[in-house]
Amino acid sequence: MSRYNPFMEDLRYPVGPMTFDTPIPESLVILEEAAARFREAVRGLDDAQLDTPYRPGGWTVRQVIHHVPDSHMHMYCRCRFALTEDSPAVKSYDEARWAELPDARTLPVDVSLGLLEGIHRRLVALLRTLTPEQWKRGYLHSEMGLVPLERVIPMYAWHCRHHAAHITKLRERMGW
Amino acid sequence: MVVTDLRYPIGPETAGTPLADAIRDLEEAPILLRQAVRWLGDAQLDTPYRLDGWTLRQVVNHLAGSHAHGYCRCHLALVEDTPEVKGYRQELPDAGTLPVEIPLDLFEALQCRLVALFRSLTPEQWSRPFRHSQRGLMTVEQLAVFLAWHARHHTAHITSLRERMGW
Repeated sequence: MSRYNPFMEDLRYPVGPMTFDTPIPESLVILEEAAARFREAVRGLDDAQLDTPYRPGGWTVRQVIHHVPDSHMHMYCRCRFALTEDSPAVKSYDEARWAELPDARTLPVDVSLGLLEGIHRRLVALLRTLTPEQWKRGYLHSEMGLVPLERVIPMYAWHCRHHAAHITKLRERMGW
Repeated sequence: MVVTDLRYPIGPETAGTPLADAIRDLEEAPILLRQAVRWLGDAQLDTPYRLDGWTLRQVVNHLAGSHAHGYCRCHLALVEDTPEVKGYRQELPDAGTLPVEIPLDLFEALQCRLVALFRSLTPEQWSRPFRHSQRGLMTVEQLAVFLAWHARHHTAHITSLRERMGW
């Protein structure tokens, strides 16, 4: 996959490249508010608009909405492993092929908005109980190496903003 | 009097449930789980369903967490060739203290997505396998049947305790 290019406007990276540096309290708030922001981002869109790719050759708005809870569900499971095992190896997965599964192409977005809200509530409740020592616990990722939770969470806070902006930027460009 | 094993209120895991029944069970599972804990106060939710067993609150949290894993496994099996997935052994401390509404909502949204996915699968997709670190080789179909049983199994821990306690 090609990376972020700072010298051109890249529709794929509307909020810039992935960041690991957002402070934890701010990241938790982003996660808590994410489902509401996605709900706001798709408010009033009809099926034809939801089935529009956010950029040429990109996922449709609907696929973006289904992708986020799928991905965060994996992260939630990884965090649980990280907290109960020592530096567990986690599987990377083919998110592009998931987004092509029929349910991600056709299912109403409400289902996934509810799912995202549910995961984040459960996750944030868990994260608010963590000790400083537990925030250092992490998982072993095949491409990134050992990733501690204190970096995982900012990464997924970015992920929320990243995909929400795919939708809001498309709406801006289309005048929706 | 028949002495039943409190750990298995609906009997041991069943393998032969028809898929259509399993999917319907999964669809109804969030409603039945919500009904099972309705009107219970914190002290009741913090009661173990049997001696040395999980509290009702832990049972509800366990169902949400475990079906989240099931959902991820199902996705992996559908897009990769016989992926290896790990079982997990420990529950997290938050499972003992969280308000049950949080896992109830998560469990409901999860089954909704899962059932929609299951209803879209072809026979070929149902037979896609994955390898579980503790249970060995399983297909997506076996996973669906297991999850349906698993939901009924744990919901019955709660309802059978309520019956015994007269709650």
